[in-house]
Amino acid sequence: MPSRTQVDRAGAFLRDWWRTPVESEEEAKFDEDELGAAALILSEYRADFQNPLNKVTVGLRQFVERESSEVVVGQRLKRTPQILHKLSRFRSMRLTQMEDIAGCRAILPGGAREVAGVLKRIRRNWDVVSIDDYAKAPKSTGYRAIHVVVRRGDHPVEIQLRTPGQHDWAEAVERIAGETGYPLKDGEGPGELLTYLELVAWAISADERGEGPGPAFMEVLDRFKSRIEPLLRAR
Amino acid sequence: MALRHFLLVYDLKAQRLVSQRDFEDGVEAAAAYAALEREYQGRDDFEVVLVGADSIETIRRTHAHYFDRTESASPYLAGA
Repeated sequence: MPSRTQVDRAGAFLRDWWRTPVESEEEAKFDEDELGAAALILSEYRADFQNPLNKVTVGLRQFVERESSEVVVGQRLKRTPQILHKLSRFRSMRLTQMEDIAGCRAILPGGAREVAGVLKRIRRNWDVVSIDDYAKAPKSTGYRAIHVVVRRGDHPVEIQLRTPGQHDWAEAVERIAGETGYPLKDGEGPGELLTYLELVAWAISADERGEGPGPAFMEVLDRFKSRIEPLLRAR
Repeated sequence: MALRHFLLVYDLKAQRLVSQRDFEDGVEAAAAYAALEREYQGRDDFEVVLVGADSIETIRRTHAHYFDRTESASPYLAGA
């Protein structure tokens, strides 16, 4: 296994490469062998998260089984372009500081009550590094969920706990981002589209709390929808 | 419960999965993941991703955007 110093050095090198324009003079200055070696270190580093991630996912399933009528739990290893994109966005972040290389998520059909139950079990049983409650304090995009980072051995693993409405919204944003090419998850894209998505997130969340938005809100939303329709065909 | 691993390639332009490989061994899957990413390096219209769950049916829900084009159940997202 590469050392942490080697991993961070590889991360810094790949970040610099990622930030240079494609097929530019600067890009041509990057040594092919050095790039290959750095990419290899990154993939070895990432692969080492697989077993800790599997264990957390299986454990999470057990917690969900006790709280919910249905177990919907999946995991993913972060895609290399996403790792490099994140390193480029957060310039002071070292690769070994990235806490979501391994991630799993549970969608709880019973909503916030079940999310709270699973969270309690995680806190009681696992080594919790941090908790971000984006349900209470949504991201500027409108994203809502609870994120928990746990430590398994030497590895951080991120757990996302979502209600069905929160998940529906997040998947819709992924879909629209893929279709249009806008990095909507980073809060980047046409302002009207971002505002529309934020309003939708608010409405879904109000619905799940049993306080559905009124007709005036729906009118505003409809107006936004007609304005963003051309944007949705951008790609 | 044994986890299964799925190495997916999603075509962003065509908006559909173009390949799926299944693995029982996660470490083997992670190695194949890196190799496939190298193959697709620089092709921005494709996403290569390694996911895992008890079944692919679960992934269809936890990572729904890689699968069907059905519209969201939410009335607020209808048509978007």
